[in-house]
Amino acid sequence: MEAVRIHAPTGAAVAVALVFSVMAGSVHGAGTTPDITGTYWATRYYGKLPIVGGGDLPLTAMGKEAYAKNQAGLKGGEIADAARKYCVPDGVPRSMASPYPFEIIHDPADQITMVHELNHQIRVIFMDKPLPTYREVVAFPYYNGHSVGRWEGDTLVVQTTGFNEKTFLDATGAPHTDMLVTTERIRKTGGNELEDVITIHDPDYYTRDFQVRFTYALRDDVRLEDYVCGEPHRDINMISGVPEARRANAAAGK
Amino acid sequence: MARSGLSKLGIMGSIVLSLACMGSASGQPAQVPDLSGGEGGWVHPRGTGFQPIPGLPPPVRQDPGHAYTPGRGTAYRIGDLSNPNLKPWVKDVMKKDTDEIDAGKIAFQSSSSCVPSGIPLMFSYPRPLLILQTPKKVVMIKEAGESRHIYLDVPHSANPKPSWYGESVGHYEGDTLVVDTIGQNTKTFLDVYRTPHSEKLHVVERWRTIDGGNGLELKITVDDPDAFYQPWSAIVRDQRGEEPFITEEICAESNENFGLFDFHTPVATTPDF
Repeated sequence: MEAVRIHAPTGAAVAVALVFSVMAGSVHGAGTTPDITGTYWATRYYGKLPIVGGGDLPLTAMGKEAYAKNQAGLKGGEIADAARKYCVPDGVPRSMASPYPFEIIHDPADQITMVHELNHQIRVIFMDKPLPTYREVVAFPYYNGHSVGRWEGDTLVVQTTGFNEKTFLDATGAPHTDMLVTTERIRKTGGNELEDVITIHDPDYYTRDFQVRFTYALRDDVRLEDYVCGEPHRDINMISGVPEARRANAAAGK
Repeated sequence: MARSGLSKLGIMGSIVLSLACMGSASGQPAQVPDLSGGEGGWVHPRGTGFQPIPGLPPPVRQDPGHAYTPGRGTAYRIGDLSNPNLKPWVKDVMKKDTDEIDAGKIAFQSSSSCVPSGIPLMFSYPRPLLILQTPKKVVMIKEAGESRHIYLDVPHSANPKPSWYGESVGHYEGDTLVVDTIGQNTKTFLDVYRTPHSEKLHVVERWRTIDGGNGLELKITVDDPDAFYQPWSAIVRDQRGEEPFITEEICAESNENFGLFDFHTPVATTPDF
């Protein structure tokens, strides 16, 4: 039988390769997961949900009624856009439309935290845990819901449930119920870009699940700033969609 | 031959692996202390925030003439202005505040008004604290709303624009995370007694775990030559929280309902976008 011979240099190379794959992720090691830690900033702002494949929101009759009520209320002022007025969290998917930077931090190993500059809102994703049941979270609904995550290859899959009913899906007032469940597929595409494809599941208001997609540039040159409600903030007029949104607000007397 | 080749690999592999587990590819020091407090974060009992360090100028303490009796009638944090370290304008500001509170004003606390506490006040509050570490930065998140960012192994900017939390840079010294913060605006107070500060405020924090990782010790040095005659120091000792960290609790919700009191929580009168 031929003796198995592993030359030390080759062996060392294998060991080093193993080591580098282990080092990705939390600074306290170890895990062979992709590293999406970084600061990200959208290059486009969508006030209206950017539906994959285009088209209109697939609203049920109840959904249409709720949407009409939101739109009328926002226009007339009876309904406040709380995320913009009181700087409470935007919810999901609207928080992921933020025209301000956010950070993804992968630490400790079983947790991923998103820290948003906008409204200083935070989303904590518990890794490799089951999605809570409606009963487990119905007493503790969150603006940004309760999130669990897992890796599928290079993609972070985040499921979120337990949303309160105080948010809209987008700036136009697209409605959702507290039965909303979102599934996000977050991954780096082409090196310096991150994409988040978010599936909306809310059968009372939408006839079918549908996806929206946001992309962000990796911006490790950017440091998150304070965000205090009503104070002047960093310039975001270079984010396409923002000047238009601001003009529309001004025209509507907001 | 195979056996010795394999054992060479084994030795090489275990050396490389143990070196790797001690640091990251970016050239971090050999051992990055683990400051994570687990699922419950780091907590301390209410009222045990900034403790004095023997031999060093102490933090402001409660005025003996104003008993602090939470839960038994109105109780506010009122600072003892006989502290010889306070410069006259600081005492004047605090005396005016105390007089207004005595006359019925609600004492301000950053946590009720949903505004940033700044450094070091953020760490005086008993709510759980999460410490998240990456190779390039440390982010600290307080339950119910605050977060601050520390950039590792970089110098301060020449003239950081004043902000609520200032600019924090840090590095590890053995088992300790050392943080240096400048550039805080003057909208924050230093402590629960509403001690003011100037833009010259310079805070140094030294964070390390104690009790075999079951405790966290924070030593703070507050240096503001416009406000104090000498830098003062304080220590905070935390334990691991027993309840899971509440990942969302929104202070500004109080604005959505009509409460009895107006805590002057910031509101955007026009939408940002």
